[in-house]
Amino acid sequence: MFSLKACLFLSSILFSAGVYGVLARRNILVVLMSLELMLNAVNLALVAGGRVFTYTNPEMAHTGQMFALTVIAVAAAEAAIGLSILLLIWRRWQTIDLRDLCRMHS
Amino acid sequence: MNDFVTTLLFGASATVSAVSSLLVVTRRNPIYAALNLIILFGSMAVNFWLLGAEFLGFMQLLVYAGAIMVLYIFVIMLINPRDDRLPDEGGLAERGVAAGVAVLVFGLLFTAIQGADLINIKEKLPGAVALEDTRVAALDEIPRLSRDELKETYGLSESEAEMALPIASRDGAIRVKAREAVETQYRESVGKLAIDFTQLNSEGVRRLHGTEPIVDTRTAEEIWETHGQTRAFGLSMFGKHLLVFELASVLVLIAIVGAVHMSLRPRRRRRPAAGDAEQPSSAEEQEAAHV
Repeated sequence: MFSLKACLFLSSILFSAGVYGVLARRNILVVLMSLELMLNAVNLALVAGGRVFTYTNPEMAHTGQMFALTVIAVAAAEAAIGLSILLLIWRRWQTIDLRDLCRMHS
Repeated sequence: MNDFVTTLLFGASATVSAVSSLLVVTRRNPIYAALNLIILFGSMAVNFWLLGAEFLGFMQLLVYAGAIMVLYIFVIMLINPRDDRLPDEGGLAERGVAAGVAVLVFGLLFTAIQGADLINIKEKLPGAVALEDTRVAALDEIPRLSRDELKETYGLSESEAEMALPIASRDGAIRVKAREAVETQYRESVGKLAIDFTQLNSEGVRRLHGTEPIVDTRTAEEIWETHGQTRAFGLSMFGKHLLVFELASVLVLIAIVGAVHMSLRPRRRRRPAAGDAEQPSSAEEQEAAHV
């Protein structure tokens, strides 16, 4: 028996780590991975919340899990598109540094 | 699985998740970050299983650890940045600002969660748990209980007392009795009361306060068995949530088409795609072809 609070705490730890990764890192690959991390943290919160929500709303069973499954699909789409953009950037400019991309327009 | 084992497993997988998430964002080399991310996805799958979402746990392993991370590692290997060509990370000030924002986000979430009145995640349905905790028996002779009495007498939390209130006040249902005395009766009553408990927000409230007794032959254990199991989830996914499922599949289809389109080479060049991405000359040619 573990509490919903524990799940939400874990979820917020993972989400904050993802926020740090997105803000601090300059490697696009790691930034994309941090995005995956944040999506996963949200998934955990959705599943735990949905589980508890089912206690009082049994007709809404699996709603949280369905949300999480949709998030997984979105994450897969995001990874595919993001990585193909990353490959295009690499082919064209030979860099995976976000700072270089910021200066690219000048 | 008893509560102790579940708690222990959750503690272990939560620790692994937290540590590996910190490692993901701090490793300089992306391949180490990717390996830590795989560990993280594995431990998150364990968390999902413990939360009763078996199908989602397997999807986590298949889609995240299986497909997405393989894609990442393919891209890392394809780019294969030498160590001196990795982007140099920001200085202490930049990291400090990022860490400050992250801590701020965590603090906000922490405060919000800490202030909320949340109930525990239990192995059984809360009705069954409340019954077991308080050794409920006879339904007919007990006076009505208020929420405060419920909280004081049975040590329930605010939300649990809220949930137990309709049952408790219906016929004055909750009374402490020795467990061995009600052992046989308990098996039957648990099922019915658990049903009452779980239907509070729908028409169950009306039915609880009316005179009609609720007849459901399933026991709490049987209902619990169906929740979170793959079969029940499949029925739900292809029944009530079919539109969401179809929309997600359309989204993935669009993503596939977009990714293929973006990674296609321009038509003029017939050379195979593999191997020449790292040579600067081919990139220049391609840039010319683009323009």
